[in-house]
Amino acid sequence: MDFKRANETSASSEEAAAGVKGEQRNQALIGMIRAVPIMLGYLPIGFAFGVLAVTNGLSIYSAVAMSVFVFAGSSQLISVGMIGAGAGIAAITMTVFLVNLRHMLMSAYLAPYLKLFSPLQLALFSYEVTDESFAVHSAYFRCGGIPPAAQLFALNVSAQLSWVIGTLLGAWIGGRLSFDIATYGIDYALPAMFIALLVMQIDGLRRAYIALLSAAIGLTLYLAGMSQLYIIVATVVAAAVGAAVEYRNEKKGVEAT
Amino acid sequence: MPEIALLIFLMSLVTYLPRVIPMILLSRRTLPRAVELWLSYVPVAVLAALLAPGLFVPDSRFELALPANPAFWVSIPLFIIAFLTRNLFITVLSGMVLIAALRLFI
Repeated sequence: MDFKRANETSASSEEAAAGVKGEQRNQALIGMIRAVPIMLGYLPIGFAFGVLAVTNGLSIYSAVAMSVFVFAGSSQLISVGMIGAGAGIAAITMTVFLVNLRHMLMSAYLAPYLKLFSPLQLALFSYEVTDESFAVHSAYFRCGGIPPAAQLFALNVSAQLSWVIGTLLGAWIGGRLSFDIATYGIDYALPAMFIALLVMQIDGLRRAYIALLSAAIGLTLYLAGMSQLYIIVATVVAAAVGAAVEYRNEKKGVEAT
Repeated sequence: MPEIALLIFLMSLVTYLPRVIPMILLSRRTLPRAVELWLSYVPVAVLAALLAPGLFVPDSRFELALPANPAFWVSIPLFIIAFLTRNLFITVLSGMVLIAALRLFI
């Protein structure tokens, strides 16, 4: 964008419109850059999903369709495993529902920040709520306010695009070459990202304790065999403990003054 | 394969509904303070619960010993790096380099 022109106060409406477009393009670019850590994780895991999908009897089209329409990593991996094992439609659907129910908590958290979105924007935005996009969005919402819509959508779409491209490549060439996700530590991109975003959200001892509590509950339930709902139960309980303590302190503070 | 098409449709439905319903219901509402506080703890709680099994359960059993579980040992310097830099890219790249190095040398 021409800097001088953007600074002119007497810009015609045409020029103003061009400025808005340029600004949106910049925001979209920022969104894409912010999606890079997610894409680093999604490309290889999408690839692994593509390989697994075709080895379990899905066509390339079905594998890609699943990544386009469902777009939920762990549940997609579980579902192709179940398809390969000969499970029925009802059982697979129920499992996917339980595995993805945790996104409800994430949407509930993000919703109050998106008051300016139209219903259509809300519907489109929630389509691409994943663990990873939620982690990035919530960290930025908490630390630095709400970025413009163009940036938020660019991040989501870039992330899904890398997931779909990974799936396509995996389904297409995956059967023909051996592929180890642990090479170069690629498999650690997403856990590392979760660590970074968790640390960004911890702004005091209480939040650190709640994180530890949630991890402990989640780990215990996971080891006890609750493999589908452990995240939800741990989150609901640990967040309730944190909120109860803070709520009581606030009340006390009001009474004291 | 009409069965696969039906399955993908049902999967996308049960995935999308939990994502969209809270978004529509809660975006235009002023929430009670207790709910607001509860939601404010959701990110730390959800991220910690998501992370924990990957760091402590490498292969269906609780295991911290080294050749089996490099993820846990890399996570310690990584938490420190994340805390000091507060930078997503540096943390992710350090994590990938550290775990690749650890796997190479043990």
